[in-house]
Amino acid sequence: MSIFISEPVKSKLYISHSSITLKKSRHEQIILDHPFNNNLDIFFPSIINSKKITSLFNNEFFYYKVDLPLSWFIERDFIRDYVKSGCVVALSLTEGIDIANVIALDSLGTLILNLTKDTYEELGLDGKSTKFGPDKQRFVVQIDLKEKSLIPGKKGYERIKWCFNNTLTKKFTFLISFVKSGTKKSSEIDFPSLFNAEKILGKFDFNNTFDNILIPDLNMIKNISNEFQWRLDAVEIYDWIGLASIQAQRIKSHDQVDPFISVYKPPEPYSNGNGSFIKYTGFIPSLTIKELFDSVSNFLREDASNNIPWAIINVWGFKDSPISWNKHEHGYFMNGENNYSFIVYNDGTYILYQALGTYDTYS
Amino acid sequence: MFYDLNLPYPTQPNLAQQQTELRKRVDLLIKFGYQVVAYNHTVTGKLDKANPIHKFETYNNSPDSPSGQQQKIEQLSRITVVIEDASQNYGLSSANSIISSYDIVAAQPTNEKIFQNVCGTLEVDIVSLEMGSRLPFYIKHGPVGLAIERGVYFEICYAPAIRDSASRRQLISNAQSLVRVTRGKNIIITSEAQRAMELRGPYDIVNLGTIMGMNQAMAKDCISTNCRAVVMHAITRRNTHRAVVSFEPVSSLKPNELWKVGSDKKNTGKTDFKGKSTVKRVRLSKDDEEEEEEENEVEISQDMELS
Repeated sequence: MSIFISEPVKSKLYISHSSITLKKSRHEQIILDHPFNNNLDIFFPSIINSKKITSLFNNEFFYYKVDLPLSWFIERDFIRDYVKSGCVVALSLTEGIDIANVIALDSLGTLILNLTKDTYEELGLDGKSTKFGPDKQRFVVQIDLKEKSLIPGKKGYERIKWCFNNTLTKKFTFLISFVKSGTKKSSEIDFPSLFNAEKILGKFDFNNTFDNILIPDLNMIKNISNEFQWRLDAVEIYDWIGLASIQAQRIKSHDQVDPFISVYKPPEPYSNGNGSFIKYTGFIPSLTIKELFDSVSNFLREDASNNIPWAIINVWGFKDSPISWNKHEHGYFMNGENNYSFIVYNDGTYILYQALGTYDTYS
Repeated sequence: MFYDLNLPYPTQPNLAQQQTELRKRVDLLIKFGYQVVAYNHTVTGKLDKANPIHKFETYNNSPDSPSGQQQKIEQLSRITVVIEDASQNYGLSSANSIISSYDIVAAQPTNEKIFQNVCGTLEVDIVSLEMGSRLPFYIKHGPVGLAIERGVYFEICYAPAIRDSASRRQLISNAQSLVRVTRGKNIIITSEAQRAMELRGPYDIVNLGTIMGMNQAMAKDCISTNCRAVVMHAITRRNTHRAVVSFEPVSSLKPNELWKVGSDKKNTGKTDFKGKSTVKRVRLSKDDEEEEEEENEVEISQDMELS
């Protein structure tokens, strides 16, 4: 007979309700504090002219895929030309944060090394054990590139440079993007040719309609009358948002599926409708996402005929990213979500869902 | 890092068919996301044949290429000695040249007395039990506690559960009793897959572990952290002298490791009149298993000149 041993931590979903018009609204901060974004999609509950979409939401972005040694990140030229004059974000492409070493550069200029025990012991820099996972098996080293004392000649800098030139000389494949301060668009980075830099344009999908679907009335969670009931309704709506984003058959109006497979029904009240999607894929800078968010909320507000009562913005983060929001440590246990979704109404009210995997310290 | 420390090595390795079968299994392991595999050669009775295991060149890491998805896996060799007779001396010590040609040593006891012996005295890394059928002895706290103290790990193979349903019941029941006795400590989960169909991905193994009585965090340790401990235990047993000191010539250092002998200073080594280097590097053991009593926890390397 086996005794059921419960899991140490569980996945979390945080739901918040606020309005863009309020001064203390955190929506901008949430978007900008989430540096590594993989996918974004925007859902409108009606069909919108694709020309209109292209004109309003065409925020082009690009990023680079390049093989870099870590010593490149601490060079004075890099720090002066890119880290201090804008927002550089980089994430290494490796096998997984519970398997291999992951290196990241976040939007505040901190180089984060999330290392296995063997790499950390050889590296020789000071770091802390990760808060999750088996005891003392992974370590995090953080180097603040914007720190004033990080200049050649100083002891700290020389030590880091020695380590990157001797103990951890391996090149990692990075996805890296740069937005110069002042502009709101992706800017170019100059790489030496031996690093095999590849510029990749962000992928868009504008012509995506999802018609004849059952859309629930989201106005029932627009205002909180009974908190307990609101919480239940909001979670049910989140399920529906997930089904909509994968364009599942289960929410089609004429779906007739064997009850053995699914008995799903959208939350009441629901009605027939059509929807359209805008999908972005790539290493999306958080500034681009903020621009898109502002475009969507302006579009909803200015839509005089009030045909479109709300829009949903879903953002997916990288499962192997070492941080989720604002330097909070993130890991991969059986899942590694750090996603968020906004439901934005045309009067500026929004509901924010933040889904976090098991190994995450954000709260 | 995910490990699979039991991939049966074909009995007739010269047959092309068996080689391709082995390659298929290794390719599937790479696809599932494993980083280390150990080829297992099972021996019953006397250890007289030489090590038949040949590691494939194509799966080796190239140290300079950037990290990312690559067709590579670390390969180790392992021997499992099936011990049937307690009185017979199996020569399980590092002095035995056949045993020392394998990276990992495992023992499979067949009765209670041998089980006691294996857990308490024999120099092995893994205790393997035939989980697919009824165990000929009960797993008791005494020998298990001894094994845990010595840093010896118990192995649960999951492929017998996939092969047929009778083994499945026995395996789950045996595994549950092992987990209960060891309280989830010192267990590794390996495949013992004879065909590629019997392999499963690491996260699936974690879920399988929950059926055996562990929680997901413990099960994940069984295929990552604990397996690493076994590999370290094996390296300590083979390469070090009483788990304290090991010697390596300076010439064995790779170019990017020359900092260990202070190559940035003008001191790469004095040579005597014969042209051989007389500077030897003494490396203190990196292993930090708490169970080993003779263990030295220091992890730094020092330059010492020995004449």
